[in-house]
Amino acid sequence: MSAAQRPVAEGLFEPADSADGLPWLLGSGCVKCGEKVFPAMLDCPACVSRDSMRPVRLAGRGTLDRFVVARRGPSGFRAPYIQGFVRLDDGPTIYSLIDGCPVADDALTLGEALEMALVPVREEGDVTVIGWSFHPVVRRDG
Amino acid sequence: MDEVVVIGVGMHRFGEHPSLHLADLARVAVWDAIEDAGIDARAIDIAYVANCYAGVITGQSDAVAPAVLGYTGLSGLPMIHISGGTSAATVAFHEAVMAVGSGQYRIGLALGVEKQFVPGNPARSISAINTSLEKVVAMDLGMTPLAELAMGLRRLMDSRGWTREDFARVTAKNRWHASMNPLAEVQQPISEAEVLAAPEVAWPLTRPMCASAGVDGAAAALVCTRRTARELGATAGPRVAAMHLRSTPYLRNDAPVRRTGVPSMDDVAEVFAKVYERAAVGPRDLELLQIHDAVAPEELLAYEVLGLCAPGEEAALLASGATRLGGRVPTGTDGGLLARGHPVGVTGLAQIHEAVVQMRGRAGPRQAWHDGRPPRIAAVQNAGARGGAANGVPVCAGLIFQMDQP
Repeated sequence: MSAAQRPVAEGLFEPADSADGLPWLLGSGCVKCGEKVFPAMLDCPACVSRDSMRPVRLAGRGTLDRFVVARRGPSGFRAPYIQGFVRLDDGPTIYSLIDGCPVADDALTLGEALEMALVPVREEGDVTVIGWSFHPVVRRDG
Repeated sequence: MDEVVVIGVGMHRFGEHPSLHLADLARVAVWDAIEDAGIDARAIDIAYVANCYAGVITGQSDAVAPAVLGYTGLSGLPMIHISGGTSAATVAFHEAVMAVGSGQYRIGLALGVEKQFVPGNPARSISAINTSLEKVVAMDLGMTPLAELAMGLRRLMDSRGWTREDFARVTAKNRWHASMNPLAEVQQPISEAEVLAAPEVAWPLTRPMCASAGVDGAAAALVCTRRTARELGATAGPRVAAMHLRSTPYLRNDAPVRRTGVPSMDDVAEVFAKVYERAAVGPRDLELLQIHDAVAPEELLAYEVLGLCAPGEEAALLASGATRLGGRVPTGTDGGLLARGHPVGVTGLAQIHEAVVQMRGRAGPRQAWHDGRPPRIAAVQNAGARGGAANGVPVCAGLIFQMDQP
């Protein structure tokens, strides 16, 4: 068990502070066109405007857009594991690790509801790197 | 812009070459191209060198172009490094064509060279390739380009009626083509049953349905205007009839999803609309096609987005034999990325190499024939990988080559 932890990068997420117990992703919303993006940006990619974006918190809740069981991974990741894209209820579609279910090709249904957690994603020497993952609303680990 | 022709191509055999340095691979491709063109090497006055992973594999992040070209014996010309994932070599070619077509330079060299094979450490090859993804929101969270490609397939198989047998058929076809290509990485043919029985990499893909990560190689092309070629007495053509590059545009969150789920193919239709128009040809006119088949299903999807067939008819087109050697529009005649191999910074130039060799009628046992002559209109489709915040490709490329009748 390593003692030290660090986030995968600063400014990407915040721990839960509301009743539903879900952590937040830190994105941006455009004051001109309303588009929301993750990760945060200052200039809007939808209406292509300078300095039009303000910080917004995106709820850690969404639906499964697509996923795959990766049988091999890069250094630091223990394969097999599930990679996926999640369509956030607040708008953007983002890449995420998926857990809370068996690591199997038939373990998830496209479109099913998912919730986010902050989890260790890999070890870097003695440091545990913290990122996000999504899991089915009711976990169904084998 | 003046009309630009390819006057020479060269290639080092793709494969595992642990004892060879980047420069060893490069010099073979470059000098083969020079001898193919029949020109004095000193006449080359600009060079673009595509390489993506030397920084990770060897630690040579910058000065890649001089570190590689310096050992070919060339000097005195600008040596420009281009990276950017699987489209890097096509971009190098594009820049060389622009440089000579504009009249600013006389003879342009485009070289792709890559070493990805790490003896005894396949995870390191994958880690190198992962640097083509955005670091924080993709690479550091375990995204891999291969898995990203596989992820969109479930939906496509449902909507287009594709099966794993279709993917095996693509693989067996391209492996058969590669068995006739002495420069290919994998030259052993494989049966569809063997493809299906091979270990799974990421459902629905088995190992042979995916280009391998651990492969080294180099390929080069020399370009100049038709006028310069005539003055030099260099080998003729084909000419670059059209080329176009673009990246994936931002898609609003509330926009209807019209993307395929396979990022490499999402912009191909727009890119080819442009090059078909510029070259004044249509998909029916293509006599040869090199597709970006890093995984077998990309080839099926390419048939549709390039306009060879309607959505849902991809597997039927494949089964008809139209895309095999001997068919109406053979694809991946050198084995494609799947079998000729996919050293990332070289791929586009390997595709161009094959188009040129075929159009000159010099492909040996894998020569494509149309009405008893080599193909005259060929297309190359290639795309760079990038996953992350802006999920899409940095460069989607389309090229059309035309060999004019004498």
